[in-house]
Amino acid sequence: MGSFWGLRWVLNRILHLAPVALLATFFVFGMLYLVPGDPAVTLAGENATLQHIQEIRALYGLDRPVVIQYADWLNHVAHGNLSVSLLSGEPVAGEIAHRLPNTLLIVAGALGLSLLVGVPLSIAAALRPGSRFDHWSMAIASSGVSIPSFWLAMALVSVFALGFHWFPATGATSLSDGVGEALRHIALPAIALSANGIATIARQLRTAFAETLAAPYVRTLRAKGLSPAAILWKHCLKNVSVPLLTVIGLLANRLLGATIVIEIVFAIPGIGSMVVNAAINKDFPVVQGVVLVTVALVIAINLMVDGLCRLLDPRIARA
Amino acid sequence: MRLTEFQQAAITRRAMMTGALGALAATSLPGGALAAQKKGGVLRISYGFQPTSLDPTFGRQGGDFGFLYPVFETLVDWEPHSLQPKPGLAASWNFPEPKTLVMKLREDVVFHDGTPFDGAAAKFNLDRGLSDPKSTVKADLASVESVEASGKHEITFHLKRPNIALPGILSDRAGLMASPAAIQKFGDGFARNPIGTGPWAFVQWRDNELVSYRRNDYYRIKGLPYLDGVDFHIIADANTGLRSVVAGENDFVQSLSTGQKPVVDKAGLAYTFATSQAMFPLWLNYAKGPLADIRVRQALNHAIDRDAYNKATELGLNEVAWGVFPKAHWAYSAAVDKAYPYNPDKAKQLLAAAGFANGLDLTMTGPTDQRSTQRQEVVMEQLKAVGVRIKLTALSVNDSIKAFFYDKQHDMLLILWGGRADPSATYDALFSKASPFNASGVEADGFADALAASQAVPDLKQRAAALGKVAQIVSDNALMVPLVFDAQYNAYTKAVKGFESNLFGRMRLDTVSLES
Amino acid sequence: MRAISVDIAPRTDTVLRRIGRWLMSDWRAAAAVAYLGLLLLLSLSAPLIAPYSPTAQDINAMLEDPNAAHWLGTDDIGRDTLSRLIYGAPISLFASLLAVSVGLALGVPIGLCAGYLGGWVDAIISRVIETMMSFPGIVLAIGVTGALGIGLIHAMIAVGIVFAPEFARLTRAQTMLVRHELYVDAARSFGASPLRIMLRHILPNAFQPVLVQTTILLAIALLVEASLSFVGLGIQPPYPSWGSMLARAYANMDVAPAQMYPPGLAILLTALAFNALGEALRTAINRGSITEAGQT
Repeated sequence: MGSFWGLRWVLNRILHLAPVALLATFFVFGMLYLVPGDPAVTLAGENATLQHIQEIRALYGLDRPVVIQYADWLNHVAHGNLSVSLLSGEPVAGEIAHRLPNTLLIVAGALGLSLLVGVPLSIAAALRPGSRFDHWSMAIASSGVSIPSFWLAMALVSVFALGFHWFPATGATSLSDGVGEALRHIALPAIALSANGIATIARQLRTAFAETLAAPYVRTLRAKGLSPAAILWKHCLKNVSVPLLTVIGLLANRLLGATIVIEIVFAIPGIGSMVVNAAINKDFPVVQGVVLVTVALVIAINLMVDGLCRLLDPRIARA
Repeated sequence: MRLTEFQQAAITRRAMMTGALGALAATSLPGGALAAQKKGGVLRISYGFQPTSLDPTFGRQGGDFGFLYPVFETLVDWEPHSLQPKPGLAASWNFPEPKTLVMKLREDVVFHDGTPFDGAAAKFNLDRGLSDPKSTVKADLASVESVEASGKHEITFHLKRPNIALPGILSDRAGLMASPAAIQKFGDGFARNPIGTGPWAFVQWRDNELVSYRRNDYYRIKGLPYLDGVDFHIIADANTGLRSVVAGENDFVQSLSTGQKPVVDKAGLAYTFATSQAMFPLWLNYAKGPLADIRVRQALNHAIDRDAYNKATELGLNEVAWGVFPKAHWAYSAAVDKAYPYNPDKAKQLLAAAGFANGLDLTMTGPTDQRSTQRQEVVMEQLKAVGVRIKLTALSVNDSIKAFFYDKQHDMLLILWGGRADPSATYDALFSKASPFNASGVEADGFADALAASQAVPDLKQRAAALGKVAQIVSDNALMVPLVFDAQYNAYTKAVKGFESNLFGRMRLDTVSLES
Repeated sequence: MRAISVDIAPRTDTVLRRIGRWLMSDWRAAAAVAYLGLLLLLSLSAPLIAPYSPTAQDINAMLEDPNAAHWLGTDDIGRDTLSRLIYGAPISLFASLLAVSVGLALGVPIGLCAGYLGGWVDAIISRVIETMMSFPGIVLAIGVTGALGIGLIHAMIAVGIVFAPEFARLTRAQTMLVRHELYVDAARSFGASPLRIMLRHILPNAFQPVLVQTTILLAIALLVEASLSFVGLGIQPPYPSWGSMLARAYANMDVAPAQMYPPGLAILLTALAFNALGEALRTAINRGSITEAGQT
């Protein structure tokens, strides 16, 4: 019975959110269309006469009304095809499939690092509420949210890649080429992105931990003689799991966006740098495709987080 | 590296053909001293552009040539240092009458797929360039009425009007020869499967990442190429590209900016720094507004301190531009040098005479990348000193080109002019009233006649003199504000030998070898 | 019998007075306000304080390290970094304020309507909000900037549009909390129009979290302006913004790495000040609200 309702809930949410994804793509399409630039000029090349540009525009169907161009694209998507790039002629889906792993690797790395540093930090601070350690660690965490991540990236490259040669300054290699090399390449970008993540996790979790530690039943347990650390482990972790998951979801979404500029600094062939180039060059199908994939990812992450939260805390399901 | 099955089959076929051809292929190596170069190795290049297409007839930008030259050759080749035309796939040519050009083609050339290069193949390519809707060389071939395969290894051009510049034009994109069989087999896919006659055969293209090539064992010049293969790693940012060479991830980085010289020197890399015919001018739309007054245009030319501009943007290392061609070019005219020396007072006088004693407002556009921004800022500050206030609208490269040339929205544009293979074609493209690169749409008096005169005589010396007259008209009318010539600045590890730069500013790797 | 006052919604000026008192007790808030005040002062008096014009070029002094003539060194065409930093302050502050203002102006009314009117209005607005929030914000900003044209003002309007959904969502949540309060019912039963209720009774109580969020988004706006300038979509040359100074420093990173620190630190400190202010505000308001609730 439980799993049936769970499935129903998932399907319900997907039905709810699919129009959101499509609406997002229509937004983007309309926006790009409004842009004064013209892909026909790019496609016609350096030497083009005005007449040639008109010919190109007709050839690629760029002179049709917006709605028709959008409907055409929708039609492609309905057949499981994200169309081809205006500029390179390559299938967008293939391009995205090729580049998405690079982006995801960085996001995963940043997320992992954020958890690795943020969670212990929040626990340590929550166990010493009001202490100097608490105040200072939270203050430093606050500054993490204020750092421009690409500036941190620049500084890291300058010191560690160019100065000490510990890490490569550019590019990415795929996991299949060797885990060690791949990790070396994403180390600096992930570190740069994690500053914000560590700060967010440390602060949110510290609040969550502190709140659970202040609950009445904890006082009872303390009166029984249990140390705060033991209480944390045995009893509070479950209560904190919901805020933790929520923060992870939030961070994952934020990182997907923040990774764009980082990819440019590190010359990483991910979907972030791809979408910036495409947007500047009015390559509609590519921008559409990336937005669709990103929105789908965000929705999927939110769904997972929501679902897991409901599993862990039935009270939410009833709310 | 894997060859496509098409290429593997081709090599077997060719193995049968070489026996017959071997006797003919007695071409000597260029510049005998290179005989000492080592064969082997794959050159890893950091290149700043993604190709727009590997189909030579459909490609759109100058950056493509780095990717095309390994695979394709032109009918007419060129001297690297002066750009004088010389035989390429065409062994010789002549104009029996002004509107007919006859070209005799080499007889020993074979495409990578084993099909022969002959008159029919050449005609196929030229017809495609003339009539395919996606062709970007139509404008270049505008003077051609039709092309005929007048012999097995001969083609004849029937022209609409006399055009002595045509051989020069065929040394550029319009003259690149692709395999008709492959085009017919792959159709649109040919753009990702280029087959030509060049020193290397295409292997793969991973978008915005890698384009790689491997040795063509049946290249017409025996002994070449030295390199087993070439891998282009696409790294858009020049700093990142240079770092990849310093870190040993690549062997060669092209198109550095002069500002990177300290890094190159510190890393102890080898380099070539040579001026090209590409030029940075301030393009002017002189059809309307204050720029329609010749005094204003002359004032702008006097207001710019080209040496200071050179120092600020190019560390003083590039060649200052007074006219359209650099000193090394065969069509260079010394007469227009120093026509407008730096003289801010004279500039102010001219502006006052034109009615702008209290200064003047102009609009300018250009690209948004940091290097372009730097150039714009230097120019704006220099013009501000004589009272010319500039309102800048920076756009993406393509948008700024469209806004200035097609929509005619701005007074000035600061963007690189890549140059053309033939000097008459250059002047035509820049200043003829019908040219897409003449934003104003009007011509200076006497320009058309002077230009026609430069296209009427075959002798290079006479042409140079005629072109000098065209240069004089352009300078007298102050039709643009030339700033500096772009230099081709490439850096590479000491293992790379034999690289030669050229006045085109394009990358040719024919003579490069790797000492390991 | 005691007359029941019609207007029994809590007033905003008591909150402001409390903020004043709190500033004097919380040193972080005081430091943040002091820094921002200093920045404002610098912004207004830039021509008096800066040693050079921000656009004056000296080709004999390009990419210099800090020295006596140029305390923070020079950029790649010889412009004084300190002067550009000072002149960049008002531009960066203005940019953040513009973005947040646009976000507030668009988001708060929409959130109010959605939260108060409910029904299909809420359903549609919520869908749109969800859509926009699942976007990678910077793509939206790039697209809108492209549509409006490159330039600082257009870029920050774009950022404001990206912020609006967040303000809307926050306002909507607060509105839904508040709309069932007694004083709202009372006002409605006295015949007040929805508009009057929203403005007079709900907004004053809904704005507190919005205020906190404002400071946080001011910090984010600063960072986003830097990012947009970095990819070439921000302020037009030759005017300095901290973001465009960073972009230039990145282009010259191999030759003069020190140039990336002045603008980067300026952005960091200012964002920090905004965030610290927001943090402190949130703490103060929470404490204040608890007292409020106790009194009702």
